[in-house]
Order: sequence, then C-alpha cells, then structure tokens
Amino acid sequence: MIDDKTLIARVVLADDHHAFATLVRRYQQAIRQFLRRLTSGDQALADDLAQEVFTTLYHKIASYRSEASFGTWLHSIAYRTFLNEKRKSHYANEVPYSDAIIEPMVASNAEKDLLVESLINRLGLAERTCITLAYSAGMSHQEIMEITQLPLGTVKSNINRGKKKVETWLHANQITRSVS
Amino acid sequence: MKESSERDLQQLLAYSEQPNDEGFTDAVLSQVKHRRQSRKVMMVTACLSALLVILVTVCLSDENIWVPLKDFVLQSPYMLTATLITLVCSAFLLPSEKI
Repeated sequence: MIDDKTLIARVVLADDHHAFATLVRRYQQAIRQFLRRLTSGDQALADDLAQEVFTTLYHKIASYRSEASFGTWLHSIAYRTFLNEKRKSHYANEVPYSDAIIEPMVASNAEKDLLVESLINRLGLAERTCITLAYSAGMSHQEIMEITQLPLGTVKSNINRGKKKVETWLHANQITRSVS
Repeated sequence: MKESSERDLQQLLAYSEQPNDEGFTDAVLSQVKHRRQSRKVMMVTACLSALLVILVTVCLSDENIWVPLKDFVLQSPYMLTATLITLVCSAFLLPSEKI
C-alpha cells in the first residue's frame, strides 16, 4: 500500500488524480462519520461538508507540512468546515434529544448508530467533538488539541465530562451490556 | 473495572464499519474538476477584460496618452523591469497552477 506522503507528493508535483482519489477513498469514512457525529446525525449535511473538506484538501494539499499526521490535518480541515457551516444563520440542525430513541435493544449497525447519535446529541459541541475524536477516531489528546485548538486541560475536561454524561445515561438505561 | 468500562465506551462509540462509497469519490473529483474549470474561465475572462480595456483606451485616446507614459518609463526604468518580471512570472506560473 502506498503511504500518504507519497500520494500527497504525487498530487502536488504531478497533479495525479488517481493519487488524490486514493486519498479520498482512504479517509472518506473517517471524515464522513466524524462530520455525521458533529452534525447530530444529519447524513446529507455531513456528506456535503465532507465533499467540501476534500475539495479544500485538493486546493490546500501543497501547504501540508508533515508536522502533524495527515489524518489529524484532514480532521482539522473538517472541524473548521463544520464550524464555518455552523456560523451560517440558516444552520438549525441541533435536534433536541429524545429519550424515546434510547432503548435497551441494540442489534444492527444502524440501530447502534442511532443510539450513539442520540447519546452524542446530548453533549455540548466541544464535548461531542473531543469524545468523538478520542473514542471514535482513536486520537491522542495532543492530536485533539491540534484539531480543536483547545488547551490540553480543556480537552481533558471535555472528554471526562462527556464520558461521565454518556456513562450516566448508559447506566440509567442499562444499555452497556446489550451494546457490547 | 475502569479499563473494561473504558473498553465498553470505545466499542460503543467506535465508527461503524461501512464500505467505501465510490459515488462519493466520484462526486468529489467532479467537484474539483468543476471548480478548476470555473477558475480557468474566470482567469480568461479577467485577462480578456483587461485586454479590452487597454484596447479601448488606446483606440479612444489621442497620441497624448503616450507622452506621460514614455516619461514615466524613462524616469522609472526599475518599475518597468519589475512589471516585466511580474508578467513573465505570471505567464510561466499560470499553467502550473493547480486549480
């Protein structure tokens, strides 16, 4: 498998569309699912934003410096794209959570996604972002700092607060065992 | 105990495994292509507009327009050199522009 740096070099130096397509294929799931969590499960909006992220990537790929990993850099583009969208006045996608969604029966991937989204929606944006990056994308605190531009203490407290909230809700609804 | 709850949370919040969507990749590539084309069209329009303005100015003005221009060029040859360098660089860099 060709590594990211080689693909980036091909895109920058030779305008290689196949290399760019490979990068899109490699990272599309992570970015689309990250944005889906941020947009409270709005798949259509998440996909639109993800397209915007990859288009921006193509424009800015020459400015990538390998100080951060490519995945981290791409997540930071996605996060900024989401924040820009959120600033727009027509953005009103914050769906109030509903207890009815959470039921102690989780069988399929789709049901699990619904459960996770309904849990994640209960968190504030900062908590939601930090929890998703830490537990879903498997990123370190340092990487989350780079993406969100938040200080380390804030990242840690967002993760701890979010985790406590999620665990409390899971415990209250006795869901953990049926999920795992 | 704590480790297992951490693992449970990781399992719960993990992204679900989904196959890659080739339609998405195609959509991104076509959006990139579309933006590149529109930028090229905008560049060509800007160049043609500039050319048109120059031509109209030259056609509509009398010979007097060249006198202050000649004076300026003679008095500030460095400006002319800088302008020429910029023009040459633009001509060479434009085709290598990515989008």
